[in-house]
Amino acid sequence: MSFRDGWVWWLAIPLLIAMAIWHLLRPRATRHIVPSLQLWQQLLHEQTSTRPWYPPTPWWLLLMRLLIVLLLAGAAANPTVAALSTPLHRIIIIDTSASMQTIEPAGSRIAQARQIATQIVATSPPATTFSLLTIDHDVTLRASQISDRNYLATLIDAVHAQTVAGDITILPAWVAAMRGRTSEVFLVSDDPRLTSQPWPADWHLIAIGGPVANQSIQGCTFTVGPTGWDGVIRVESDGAPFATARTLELVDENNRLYDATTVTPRADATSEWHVHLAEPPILLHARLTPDAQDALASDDDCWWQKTTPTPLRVAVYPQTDRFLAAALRILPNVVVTNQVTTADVVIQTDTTTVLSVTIPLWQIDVPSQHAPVRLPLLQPGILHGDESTLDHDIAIASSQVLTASVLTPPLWAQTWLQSSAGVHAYAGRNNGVATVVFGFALTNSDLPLRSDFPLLVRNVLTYLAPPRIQPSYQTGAAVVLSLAPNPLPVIYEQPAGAAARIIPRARDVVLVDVTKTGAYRVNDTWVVANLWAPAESHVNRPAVSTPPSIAPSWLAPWGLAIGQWLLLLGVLGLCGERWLTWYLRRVT
Amino acid sequence: MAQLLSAAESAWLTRMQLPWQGISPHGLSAVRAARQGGRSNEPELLRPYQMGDDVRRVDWAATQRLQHAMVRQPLPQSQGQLRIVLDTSPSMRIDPTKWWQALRVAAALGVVATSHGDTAQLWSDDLSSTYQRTDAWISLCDHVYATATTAQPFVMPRQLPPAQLAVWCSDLWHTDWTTQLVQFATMAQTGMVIHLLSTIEISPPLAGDVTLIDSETQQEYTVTVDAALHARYQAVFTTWQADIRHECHRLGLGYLLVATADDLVTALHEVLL
Repeated sequence: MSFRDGWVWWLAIPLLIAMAIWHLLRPRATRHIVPSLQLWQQLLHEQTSTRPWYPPTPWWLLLMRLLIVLLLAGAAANPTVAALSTPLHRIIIIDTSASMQTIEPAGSRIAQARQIATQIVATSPPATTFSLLTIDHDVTLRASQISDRNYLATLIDAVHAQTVAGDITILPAWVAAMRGRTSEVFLVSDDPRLTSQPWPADWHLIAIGGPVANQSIQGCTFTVGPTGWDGVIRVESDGAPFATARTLELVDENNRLYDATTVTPRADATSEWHVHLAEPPILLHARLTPDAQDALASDDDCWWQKTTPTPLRVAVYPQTDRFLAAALRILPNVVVTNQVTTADVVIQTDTTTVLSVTIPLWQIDVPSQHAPVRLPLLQPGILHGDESTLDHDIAIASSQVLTASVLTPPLWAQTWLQSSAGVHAYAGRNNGVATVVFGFALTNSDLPLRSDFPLLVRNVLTYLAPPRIQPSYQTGAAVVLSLAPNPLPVIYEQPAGAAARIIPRARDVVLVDVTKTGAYRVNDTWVVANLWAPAESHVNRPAVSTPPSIAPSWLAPWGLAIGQWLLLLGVLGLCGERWLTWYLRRVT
Repeated sequence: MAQLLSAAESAWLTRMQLPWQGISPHGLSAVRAARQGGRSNEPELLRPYQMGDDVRRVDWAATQRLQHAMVRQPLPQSQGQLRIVLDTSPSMRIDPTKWWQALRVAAALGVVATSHGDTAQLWSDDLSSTYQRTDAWISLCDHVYATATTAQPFVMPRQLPPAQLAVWCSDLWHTDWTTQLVQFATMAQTGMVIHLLSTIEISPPLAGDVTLIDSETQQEYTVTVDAALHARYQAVFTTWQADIRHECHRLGLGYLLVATADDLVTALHEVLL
């Protein structure tokens, strides 16, 4: 058990010492023979009632009073139970299947996986323990709950790709047996099932690598013919034999899979497939299905819409990116949902809508043109005007992105992030609407791993939709709100909606509640108190040093926290001590 | 052992007289009866009513005053008698100076009586002796001072023949002191209560945590004494003493508070003539 307000003990300890000294040095009761007690007895009840703090006579009464002081001081020190502050356990799983031998411009995939694993270890809190697993045709436990990082680095460097196919689907059941409540799981793999099948929501999935077969769909068009609709899907290949290419699937808006016989490759079978449909669907999705060593890429897809399509604003926004979701809650009149409603701005991945905003306050846009650049080294551009707020309090220099598109900023935009390959992000006002365009997914960069990532999100949101007030935020530190002097507790609302309170001890109320990730509200003012998450930040988690005040169930029956229990015991003990004092002083 | 009375005190006492000795050869009650317009000038004494007494001799005024049926009886033509009832309970001997002062008072009154030919009787719980010689009386007081060891509470004697003057020397630390005062009032024509207290009883020199032990019941009581408690004790003590004085006056008894620090000559000046 630890204490948030440990300074209380500095007041309690001198008090305990003073009580002990007072007891030891108190005048001892001397015995006097008096002629009669009849006059003294008349004074008894008045004596005991007018002097409640009678000098402690028996030693056990002193111990009782010391214990009461300890209990009350413990309650005032805001105790926390260490059950939730046990060292973090991180399970790192590296895919060592044959596909990890693939050599990419950034190096082999297994080398990238080792680098990512090393980075995870380096950014973990000091007391973290690690388990290292590799997965190919089976799971191999290479280290179990070790804290020696040098030894762990040696084990990571010894991980090499095998020559067998992997099956990562066995991992959830395998890991479930060894993970504890405070465990975090990091899976580094190039397996396409990393993104195509559901995984435990709290797993950190790190996908590496791209498609092996450099074949991509360049487009699909349909024309009305005499007997129906004739479609042409153009597939480009980098020279690999077409016989080894992936198969082509056609799916309509109802997920109906069209018969493969309707798909006829051309005679030369190099780049163009034809399809004939009697009645085309409203929406047709053509995609190259992945093979065992490939992952779906955005350029493997082609969408054809019967009606004239409108430009679709797409943001690469993985569902695990909880920063934006949390940050959006601080904006007034913004609703975060997982279903498409009457949204004016839709934020979605390539296939799934994950967020809709009912009021078009802002947009995050990724242009359709793709000119992927591998591992560009981001450098900040020169911003001025309102756009200069995007760089406040953050340092993006030398940030890395796995894959980024080279953008062409329009005339109204200013370059924000760039590399030697070109512009990767820009910002500006398009017809008065503040717009920020990223050429990469935030989670495909190391920005979330940086301590100032919440500030980046804040800057973006502040630029897109300026809040009514702009409190001063600092990552990893307390949020300070200046409130009017008020002796009453300040009630604040946690991200999950639960109400908590702060006892104001000074003019400023310091909110240091990091038990929840998200936005907090104090006196109708939204503030961002804890936008970072342990997996994405290398800041030492305050939660480790100041664990949340949540007692285990066996310590907190009836919903009482440990501090409330100490207070209750202290008050009961005080009542008992008062009664004992009265009892000992009464006439016997 | 030091003498109870010094030579100067003894000389001064032989010049003093008890009330009846200086006012009337027949005693104080006879003088009172004459002053109050009694039926005759015959010396009389008051005694409790007994079966067979003539109801015409009942003194109704005294009966109402004493709450006992009292009759007038002609005083026998004899010499005067002084009766000293001495409280020998442990509370009287808790302080040596207090016990010393009690015997000095008894010795002094006896010297005054015997030096004028009257008799002096000392009554305590285990002693009842009458003396007419001064030296024998002094020796008796010395003996009582040195040998009194009773640990029992004081009990007022009953069925004693009336004396001309009775003096009760006590600290009155008895819970039934009002009853004992009534009993004492029937003991003599003239009664006098000498309330003897030591200075530590009037103003206890106590401070801090003290355990008080009752000298007679051995009951203990722990208390913290401070200035406030001192003040409260003084208030209770004053009330208690005033109650005793008022009760004595109601019963027709004289009351004299004598502290251990008081000079004997000064203390008895109100009693002796």
